[in-house]
Amino acid sequence: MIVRVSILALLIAGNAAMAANSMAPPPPLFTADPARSTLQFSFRQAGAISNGRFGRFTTEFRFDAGNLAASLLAVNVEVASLDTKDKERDELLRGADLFLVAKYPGATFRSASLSRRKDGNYEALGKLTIRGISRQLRLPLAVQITRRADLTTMTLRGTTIIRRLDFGVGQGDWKSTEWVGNDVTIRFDVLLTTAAAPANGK
Amino acid sequence: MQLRNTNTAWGAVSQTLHWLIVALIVLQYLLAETAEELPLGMAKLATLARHKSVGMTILGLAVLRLLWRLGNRTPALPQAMRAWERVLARASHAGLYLCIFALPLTGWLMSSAKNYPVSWFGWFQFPDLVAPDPGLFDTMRATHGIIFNCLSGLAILHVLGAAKHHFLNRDDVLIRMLPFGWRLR
Repeated sequence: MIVRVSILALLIAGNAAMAANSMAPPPPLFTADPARSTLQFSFRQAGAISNGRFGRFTTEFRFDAGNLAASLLAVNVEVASLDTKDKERDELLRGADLFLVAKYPGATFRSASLSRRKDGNYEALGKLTIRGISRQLRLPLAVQITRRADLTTMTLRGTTIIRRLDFGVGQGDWKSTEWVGNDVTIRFDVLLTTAAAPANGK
Repeated sequence: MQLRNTNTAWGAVSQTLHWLIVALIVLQYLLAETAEELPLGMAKLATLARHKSVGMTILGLAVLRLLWRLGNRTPALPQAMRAWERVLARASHAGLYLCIFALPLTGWLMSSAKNYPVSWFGWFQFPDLVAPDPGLFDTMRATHGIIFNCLSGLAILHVLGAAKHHFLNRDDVLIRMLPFGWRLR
């Protein structure tokens, strides 16, 4: 009896796992609404925190809380769209000593895996590429989903700190961190939508 | 020398604030001229950061100076001065006070308008006074320059006035602002 129940339990568990992995439909694709999404950065310049934003970037997130293995986050940033509210500085940032946008117009993040954290938020482990240099990055993700009849909306928020010199953003004089700090704080607040109903939606 | 002012002499606090602000304004001029020559880059950032830190120091000292002046007696002007001379003396001093407030404040506005927040020697950051605004930056930059020209004009008048008191009127108006002025008596 006990043996039989165990086998049944194994069978059910096995089916559930299979359903989640191979038989489940792919997670719905959420795409960002650029008008309601922001990607900001702040950095220490001459002792004061200065800030800027990237005006143009795309975010695609295949997400299913019940199928994280098949979930995937992809962000593409048009580096030249950077805006620090000072044209002179923006030009300098686009130039050879900093982002070198003529050669490296895009910055990207691709998740390799997603996991759920104890606090209920998610974490994407993936590859961040800036100025042609890729580094592993752990990106915390606060995901909030609102379902309506025809449209599912997601807000995706998070903050992380990267080091600009890891990506070669700072050549010549700018390798020094005396007047411009190495740490750069990235903040994103992205609004995404999908037409498809999530597989595990309630 | 005593700390507080008397009817006939400036105390040590007033004298220190006067000469410290003079020295810092000269330093400010040199830093601004240096920065002006540089292209946007590390050296310019560093020079302007110092200019801004010193400017905020002057603003702090100006506040202290005004408070000290209001809470203290002011040495009387010489009896021999005519009415128009008294008016000119009071007005030019008011103008100088106005400049040591208006210069740092317009500089602070320039920084906020250009989205280059002000730090005090990297120790702490001042809040922005306005949102980034390139048009306002240009206006404030021009105003900052005009106020500096006013300050320069008033300073020349101030020095000429002090020289007139010392050499023509032979009174103690200059000497009472000199730290070791008693030696010149």
